[in-house]
Amino acid sequence: MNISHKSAAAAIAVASVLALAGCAEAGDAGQDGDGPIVIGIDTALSGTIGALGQQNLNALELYFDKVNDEGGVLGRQVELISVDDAADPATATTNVQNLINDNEVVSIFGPVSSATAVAESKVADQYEIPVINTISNDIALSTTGYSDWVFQFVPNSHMEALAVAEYVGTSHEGSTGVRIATIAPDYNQGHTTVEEFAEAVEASGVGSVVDEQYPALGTTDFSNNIAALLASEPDVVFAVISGNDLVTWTKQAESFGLFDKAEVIAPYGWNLLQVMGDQIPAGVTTYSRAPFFAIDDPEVAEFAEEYHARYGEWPTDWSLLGYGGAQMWVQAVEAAGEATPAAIQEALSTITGKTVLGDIQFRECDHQAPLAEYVGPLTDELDPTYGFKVFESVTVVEADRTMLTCEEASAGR
Amino acid sequence: MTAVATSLFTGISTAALLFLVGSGMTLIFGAMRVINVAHGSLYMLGAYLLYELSSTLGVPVGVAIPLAVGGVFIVSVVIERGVMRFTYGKEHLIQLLATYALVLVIADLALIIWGTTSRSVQNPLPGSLDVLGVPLPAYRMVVIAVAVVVGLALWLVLTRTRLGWMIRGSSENPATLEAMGYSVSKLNMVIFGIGGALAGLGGAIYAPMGSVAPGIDNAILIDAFVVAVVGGLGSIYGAAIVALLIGVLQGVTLLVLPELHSSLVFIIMIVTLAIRPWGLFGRPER
Repeated sequence: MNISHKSAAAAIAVASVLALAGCAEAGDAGQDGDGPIVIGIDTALSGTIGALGQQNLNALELYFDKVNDEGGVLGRQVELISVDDAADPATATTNVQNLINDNEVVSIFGPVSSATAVAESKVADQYEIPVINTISNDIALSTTGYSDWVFQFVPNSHMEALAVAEYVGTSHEGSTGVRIATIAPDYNQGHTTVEEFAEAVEASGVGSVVDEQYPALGTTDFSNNIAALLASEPDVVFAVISGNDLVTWTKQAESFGLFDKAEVIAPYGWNLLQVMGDQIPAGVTTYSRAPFFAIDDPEVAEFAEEYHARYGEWPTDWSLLGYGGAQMWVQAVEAAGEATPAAIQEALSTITGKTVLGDIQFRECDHQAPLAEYVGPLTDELDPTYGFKVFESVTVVEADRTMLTCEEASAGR
Repeated sequence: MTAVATSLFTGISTAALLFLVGSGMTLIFGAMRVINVAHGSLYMLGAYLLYELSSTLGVPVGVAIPLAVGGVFIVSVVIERGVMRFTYGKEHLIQLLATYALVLVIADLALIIWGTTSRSVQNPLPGSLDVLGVPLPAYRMVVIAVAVVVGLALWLVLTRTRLGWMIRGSSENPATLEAMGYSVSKLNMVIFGIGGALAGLGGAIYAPMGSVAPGIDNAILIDAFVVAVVGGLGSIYGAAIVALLIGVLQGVTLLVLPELHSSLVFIIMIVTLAIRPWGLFGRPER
């Protein structure tokens, strides 16, 4: 059968119009009046960092169940759809497209891995769907990869790096020539965190980074990296690795005597403290984005008790941040008066939300929430209340000391 | 000098673990011509069994390891009887699909039973011994010793016992072995069980050194596969030599050329297979 050029051109034109209409409709999804407000979360629920995603999801489900029990938002129930990306950016991209096109979500909560968050933000930007990240904190998400549709309810990697650098500077005040080695996962967030930490600690004058290790995410044998760290003779080791990798690294580094030779600073969240118990060597310093046991606030305590009652375990940083992010979203919808992506995005950009982590407003220039970072040494013994090591003392590094200026955040976009 | 010595030691201990897992994979392929993609899953199962025995039931690690290995042997036999024996003589693709299906099933079962949170097994020999100024983790010395013992045992079994003779005979000409009155079916069951048990031993031995969590099945599979393939599928001493090569080179590379560290294993595989497609000590497929 021969098809004329004119017929082919007409068919292409019709198909293009239909495709564009489909894209437009995806952006207007989920706003219809009586049914549930559908939102989604694409995150790692399996694999080496799956536990973090699950803990984050637990808090979202806890919060939205409460909201629904109290009548929902704008009189409508909230339906949360969760999908697993296994920390794979390609899977995340497909998942988010499906959430938008098939499930017609009006908002999305972001993933664990920053690599997948970057992938998701591109899709969100294309379809104009607001995304709230409460775990992935790569600085690129609010700088070079910034999107008007993405919001960071988590201290970003720059803030975290500066908080730890400030702690190192303060705890070694008066010293010079402190040798610092770092170990971080081999992807953008790990590299940028170390880069910013190195810059900040060198600016403080107490010392410099003498060795940097970047094992792949999911490494099961860090012995070669640990040998390299030991070879650099560090006074301080700053570990950016987390989750299961941190459990593995801690055990292996301990067997090599690293904890006896250097002060180790690593992000032991509650669940790792609980998993490892007294296997965490004495004298370790930890940094945390939202440690419920170190925040003296009745609302945090109430949330922790509710979470513990429902899930049989205490909330992690990812749970607390997820809860706070969910609170922001609900208040944004209420302020907007409608559950459309555009209205929610505009409201998120302007409201001051009352959250479990305080009154928070996303900064206009980069959509970064001004959240504190918590740094301090762990107790040598297990806490009798919780059964895991807690902060012996905690330094709360407020966001105004760690956030990029708007000029810095906007540079390079 | 300390850095080099430490790297060499860690490389040898890494090699020990790779050999334990890779030898099981190469044994199964060498004797049965089966590529078992679920080998990593059996490794993970060994780690989880050790966790349950030692951390939950309080069994000392030294006793729990052989018990965990026994458990994985039984599971491997069940897999062979229930799934693998229906794939013999068929295309490798069928075997790959069958074993990949097992990977997915075992991974999901592990998630259902143990969830996403990692587990930690107490290291029974924490700390290190100072050997001429070089800190050598005590537990890794045990890992090396176990790998040496297992390697010698495998060599003895394969070269000095009737079972070994039957295994070698089955790999050469199973029809002749069957005609001589030996049950190749039962032999395959035993071989698959032993191969799986070696993977389980690797996982159980690893557990006190790391995190027992979803994903450790995939993490070990690639390296074990490279050890088995580059060594020559079916060659136990090929697996030992390549495991040692990879372990030591990884350590040295991280010191002198860190940019190559993560791709080293694949470079070795590509170069070797380009020159000898059947591996360093393997033989061309019959």
